[in-house]
Amino acid sequence: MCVCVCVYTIDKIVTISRSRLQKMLVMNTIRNSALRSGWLLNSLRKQSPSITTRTFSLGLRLGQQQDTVNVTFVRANGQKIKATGKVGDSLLDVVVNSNVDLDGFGACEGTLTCSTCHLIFKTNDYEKLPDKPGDEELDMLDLAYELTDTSRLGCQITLTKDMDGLEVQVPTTINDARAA
Amino acid sequence: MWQKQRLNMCVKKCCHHQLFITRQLSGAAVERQELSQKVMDETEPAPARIDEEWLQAKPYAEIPGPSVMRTISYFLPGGKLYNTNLIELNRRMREWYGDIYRMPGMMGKPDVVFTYNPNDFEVTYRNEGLWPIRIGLESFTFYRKVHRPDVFGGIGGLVSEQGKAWADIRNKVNPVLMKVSNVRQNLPQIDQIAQDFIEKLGTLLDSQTHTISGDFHEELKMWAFESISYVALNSRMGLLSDQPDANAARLAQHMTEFFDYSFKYDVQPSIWPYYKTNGFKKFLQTYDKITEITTNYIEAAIQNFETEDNAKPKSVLEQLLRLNKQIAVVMVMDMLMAGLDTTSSAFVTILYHLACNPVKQERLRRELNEILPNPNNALTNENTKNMPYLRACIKEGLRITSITPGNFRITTKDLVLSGYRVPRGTGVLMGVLALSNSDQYFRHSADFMPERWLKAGSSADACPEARSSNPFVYLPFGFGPRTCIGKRIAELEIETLLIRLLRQYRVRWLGDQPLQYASTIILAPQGNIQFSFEPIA
Repeated sequence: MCVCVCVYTIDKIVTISRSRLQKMLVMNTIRNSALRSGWLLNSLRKQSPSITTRTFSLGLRLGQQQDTVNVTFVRANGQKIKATGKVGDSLLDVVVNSNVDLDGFGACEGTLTCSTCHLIFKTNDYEKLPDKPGDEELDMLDLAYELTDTSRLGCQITLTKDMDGLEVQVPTTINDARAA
Repeated sequence: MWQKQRLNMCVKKCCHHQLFITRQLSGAAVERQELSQKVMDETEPAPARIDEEWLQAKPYAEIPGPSVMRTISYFLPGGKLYNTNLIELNRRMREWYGDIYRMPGMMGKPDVVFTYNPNDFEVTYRNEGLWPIRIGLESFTFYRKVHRPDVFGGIGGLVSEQGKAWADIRNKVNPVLMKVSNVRQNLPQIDQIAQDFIEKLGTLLDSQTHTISGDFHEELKMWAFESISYVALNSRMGLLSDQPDANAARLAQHMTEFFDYSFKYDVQPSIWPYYKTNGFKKFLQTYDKITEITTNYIEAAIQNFETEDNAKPKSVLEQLLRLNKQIAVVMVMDMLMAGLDTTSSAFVTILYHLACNPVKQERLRRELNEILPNPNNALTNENTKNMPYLRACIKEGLRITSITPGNFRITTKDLVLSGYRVPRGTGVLMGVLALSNSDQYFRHSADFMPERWLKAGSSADACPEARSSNPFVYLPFGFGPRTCIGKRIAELEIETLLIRLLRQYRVRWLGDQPLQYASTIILAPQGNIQFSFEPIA
């Protein structure tokens, strides 16, 4: 089952990604989806140890996965981009370090002077976020395009272990709107 | 490139030779054109727009505005805009040409489209990309890069640089000056400086009239300089003592001259790129004096590093020195220059409005009493976290009078502004101040109403509906990657001094007339600034 997930994601990534970092994305995705199904692995391990073996054959060691967190960015057109970060990274770090191809994202480098790293959370996830937005973030959120009640700036969200599997919506940018 | 080098060589070798002087001077204009070309080359052009919005838009040439000759005639003696200030100039042009008009480029400068439409502000900012272009003061660039390369070594600083060269500096400075948590590390010292200011004010106050005989704004400039130099250099200047260093007051004086000159030579049409007038030469002398004073401060600070204990938090200078000495020196010089008049002027504006609105001042004081139940307590990150009314007062003061009347960018993409096609590489001046003071965007715009900045539902008196539904109307520090680099420091300084001052004194405005401003490239309070400071029992 785990392998199915991997293959499916690889297919999807290969078809959608025209970026020169395709290779890296694919590797990340293999890792991500394997990590994502960590719970699955754990629950299945007793019944079917072969799955664990297969996962190890992909070069993964479960012991080192403690501090990695998987995040999926969903573009306005529904396209999903998976990425991995470490506990303590911000969502902006994840986008930058994983070379997620989002045009103009995080232009001010997390200094809270723009709103280009605007992300929309699911209500449940939004309520679980450990820190409420500060004044500086709220001021910039006011300037965000397509602001919602569950909007935050990615540079201000620090990954914790229980955010693993988080899915966030990337709002339409003005460029998307123009091209549409 | 080769030609440019040759020109520079001529400048160095032959600058005393009459024949070459014209050549040297026209070099500045060539430089200007080459610079903007280089900047545009660095940013990758987007493919030509073929979308509906672009195709439907009116051609660029149809944007109303004066011709080159007419523009020059406006500014000549006897012309309609001769000797007007920046605000007056913008107001009259808007009257003649409407909410969007074009000033033709001349002497190597690009055209500038002036817009009073907040939707245009939004389009301009949202499309500026990672390396927004903001041609700053051209005299400044000339001074640093052409006139004194011996001092600046090719580094123009954040104001002058564009593209990658700009990003290289800004990336190094951002973590130190813009990250909220890093900037707030300076709170204990900024608070100490605010308390020293209050103490000095106490000694200057007449116990009967509650006024000071000296110039309050000058005192505030010393506070601002003491604060920014602490952040930049990690050393106390002692400007709030009985005998402050006279160089700081001289620097303040030169900065005022600098803003006047800059309006004359950077904003108004001038022939200086071709011929250095006597006035422009004086301007260069002012630049030299500023450079000399700031360099001396920086050198003294570098010498002090060796003797200081290492446990102290690192200053901007120290942090940047480790990365690149030249950038460190230029950046710190910019901080010392830019953090003086601007912060003190903003403070006077905000205090003036609070002084004229005693009810609002009392409302603020209730919040401050909660933050500091005992006025002798220290300010900490915890007790200053929640002060919505104070922050609203600062915003409201800067809405009515921001430090600059407009924001400027050079477009890095083809944009549609107010229905016209504006090609990449055009200047856009966003008339923020005029819109911030218009009832169309801010209900009762002439009233000081901090409540309009309180979040909906956060308190009973919050009235966010009294502010513009388009937030791009109000951006006193600009927006995006080129936001004012001093924004956080300035806010921290202003917040801290307001808390200390209003926790201790009830402030009233004693002037017969409203606060007046000199409008050069910044808006600086002018004339008799008379407050009374009545101690709170």
